[in-house]
Amino acid sequence: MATSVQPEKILKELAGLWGGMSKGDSQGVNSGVLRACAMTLVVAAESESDAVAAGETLGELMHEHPSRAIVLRPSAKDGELEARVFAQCWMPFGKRQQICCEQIEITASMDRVSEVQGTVLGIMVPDLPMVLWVRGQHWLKSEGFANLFPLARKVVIDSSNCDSPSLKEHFDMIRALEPRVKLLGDLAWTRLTSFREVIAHTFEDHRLLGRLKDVESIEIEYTSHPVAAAYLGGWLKSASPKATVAIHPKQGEFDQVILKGSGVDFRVELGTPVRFHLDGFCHRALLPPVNEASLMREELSILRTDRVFRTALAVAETL
Amino acid sequence: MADAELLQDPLRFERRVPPCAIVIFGANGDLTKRKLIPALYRLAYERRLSPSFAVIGNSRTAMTDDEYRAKMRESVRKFLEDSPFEESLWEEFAKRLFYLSGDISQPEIFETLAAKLREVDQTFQTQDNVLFYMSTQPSHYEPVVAGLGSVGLQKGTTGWRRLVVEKPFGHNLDTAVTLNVNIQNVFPEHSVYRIDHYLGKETVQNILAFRFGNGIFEPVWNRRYIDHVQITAAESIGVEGRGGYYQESGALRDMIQNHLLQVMSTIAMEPPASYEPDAVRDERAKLLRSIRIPNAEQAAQWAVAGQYGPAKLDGVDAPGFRQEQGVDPNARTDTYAAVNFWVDNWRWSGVPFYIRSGKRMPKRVTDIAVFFKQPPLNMFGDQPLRPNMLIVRIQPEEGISLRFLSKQPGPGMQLRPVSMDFNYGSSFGMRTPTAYETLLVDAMIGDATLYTRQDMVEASWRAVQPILNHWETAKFEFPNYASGSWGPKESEEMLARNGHVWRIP
Repeated sequence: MATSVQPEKILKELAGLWGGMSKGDSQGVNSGVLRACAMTLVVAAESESDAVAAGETLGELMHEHPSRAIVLRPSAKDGELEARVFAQCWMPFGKRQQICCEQIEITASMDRVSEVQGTVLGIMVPDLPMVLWVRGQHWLKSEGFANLFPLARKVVIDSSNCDSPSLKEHFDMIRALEPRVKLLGDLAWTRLTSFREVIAHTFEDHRLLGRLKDVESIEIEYTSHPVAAAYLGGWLKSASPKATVAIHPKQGEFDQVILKGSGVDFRVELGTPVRFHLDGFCHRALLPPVNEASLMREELSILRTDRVFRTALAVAETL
Repeated sequence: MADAELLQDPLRFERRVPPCAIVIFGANGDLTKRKLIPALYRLAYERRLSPSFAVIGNSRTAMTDDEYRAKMRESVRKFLEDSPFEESLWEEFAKRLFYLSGDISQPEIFETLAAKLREVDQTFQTQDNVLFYMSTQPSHYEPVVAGLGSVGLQKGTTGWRRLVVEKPFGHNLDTAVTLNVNIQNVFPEHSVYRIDHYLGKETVQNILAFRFGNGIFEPVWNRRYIDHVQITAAESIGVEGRGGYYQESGALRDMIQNHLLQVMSTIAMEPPASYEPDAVRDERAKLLRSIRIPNAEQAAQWAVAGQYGPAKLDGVDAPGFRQEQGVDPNARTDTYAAVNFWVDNWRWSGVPFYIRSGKRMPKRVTDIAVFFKQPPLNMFGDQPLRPNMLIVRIQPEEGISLRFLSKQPGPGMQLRPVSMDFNYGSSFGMRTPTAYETLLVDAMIGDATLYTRQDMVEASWRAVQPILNHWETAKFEFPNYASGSWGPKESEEMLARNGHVWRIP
């Protein structure tokens, strides 16, 4: 049901929603619902279909990060600004009580996006952190949208969804964003966690133990998005400052990282499975699949300064 | 290792365990099958084990490696909690699983074990790190430790050696002291990890976060504001085939002396200066040492023993304890124990801590209820004021609730108790690691924070030993509580003497 975007009216709608849910089902059976909320999560979707996809991810996220979710949907119709409220619920296995989270969907055209900040300010859950997840570039073009940044404890972007003409321009965009947000996360970096973890672990292998300082060249061949490759290069170089870094595109299905130096000849194919080539042997590691929900789960768990990311970002910009 | 750490990302990477071999004594026993191997498999599933990792199981039963692997595969399938079983992962895991049959009373087995460890170290590069896990009968602890010492296995050439000991840590204070001395003759105390799986439970760890991560509770966490504390650990089942073992221990030894006194020490300890193993354990130990040791007369007054009788449960005849298989028909075992502890320090002087544990109770529940003092003046006429109560639920429905009074909507001033709930399951819908996963990782990493120490074990024995001594000679009218009840009436009377009643969890 569409409603006004006045915070009081949205909050009243929400109260009505909870009141209705607590009255029980048509048979008069009321096992009850449990309202769970640990944060406000504002999701800026790129399109109507993207908002649907985001809704599915929110459904998965609510198990571990119950929130009041506010999904911002772009409208092509000038002057449009409306909201609707609903709840997403799940029933934990073996339990009789549903756990429910609120969801508010705000549809706004670009010309009215500056009004969204007032609405969000009024309906954010008090005293709990707000995280802003920007799923693409659409909203980033609007100064009105940028008014949401100061409200957010953390802003999460996904560089892989951004089409910057060059790496430099992309990092310029991030550099411009950084001082305006308290904490910044990038799902392009989050996607690298399991790869980085196995690479880090490989350096605990007795054949590479103590050899990180001997790495002289880092070569990254990427098949997908150059920002992720730059992040990976930045991270590796931050641990091997002497090494040169080369990043270039490659045909094929998976990215590849090659580390060379005195006594080091190590190649990783970041496919499924990940293959490590070391000393003439090939080792395999099967990593758990990632999806948007698992990536966001990781980002929402880190609501403090992520020094490793900041360092990798700073080095990546210089590559 | 130092430069590999440059690549570490503690915010995002799981805590990794270093290369090591685990030797499990009692590898064919229940604990290994139900808890240890499933926990290790789960750690492998989460990629938290090093590729340089291996397990060597020992017990007397003759088996090949493959037979042992097949047996453990079935156990993992059966006892794995909240996790999928993946055949391909199991195959990788099983390659690192070995079995060594042999009698630990024979010295040769330790020579064979030493050779097997060298072989495993060469094959899997376990870097000479070995964790010995005592999952065997307590009577074997000392012979195993002596055997390990006899071939020098307690000391690595380049790696570390650690010993994990399961409870019971002795049968009484004297045997606990002897056990500690005999262990320490071989392993230094810092290498000994006495496991109390209650301390590995997320909710017990959360007590530390709740008390010391928040500023609002600590100022009222003392005798000025807290009236008394009740700790309950109830099981709905009986001894379920463990009658033979249980009749030698009982509720006081099996639950209160170890698990529940550790829980009590966590709820009552002073703030540690840091979250370092010895800082936390020092405070727990201080608290346990502050428990008043009852004299013979007090031991009779401050503790109640109970034993369940036969009953009809769900229309089925359930045997009383004395009718259970393997139990002496005249057994004097306490299947229920309740103790009123006092802590003699500035914070808790005069505040009773009531701890009870029993089998065949109305339901399975473990929780801590902190009763606050009532307001000094009742300005609401004849309406009784109920104390505020903070409940820490350890299992099931893990969470924290605060009970307080609220005005009932409508005319007049009618008060009604309401509850403000924090529920772990709804706030963090993620899977929480089992206590054994947490504790095994801690032992491999070398973090002893959640393990008990020799002085803690001895202090907790000291607190219950006078009660055990009194019960040796006391006359009991067993059975004295019905299955499905909250225990004997003497337990209610014990609290009534202080003007308190047991809450119904």
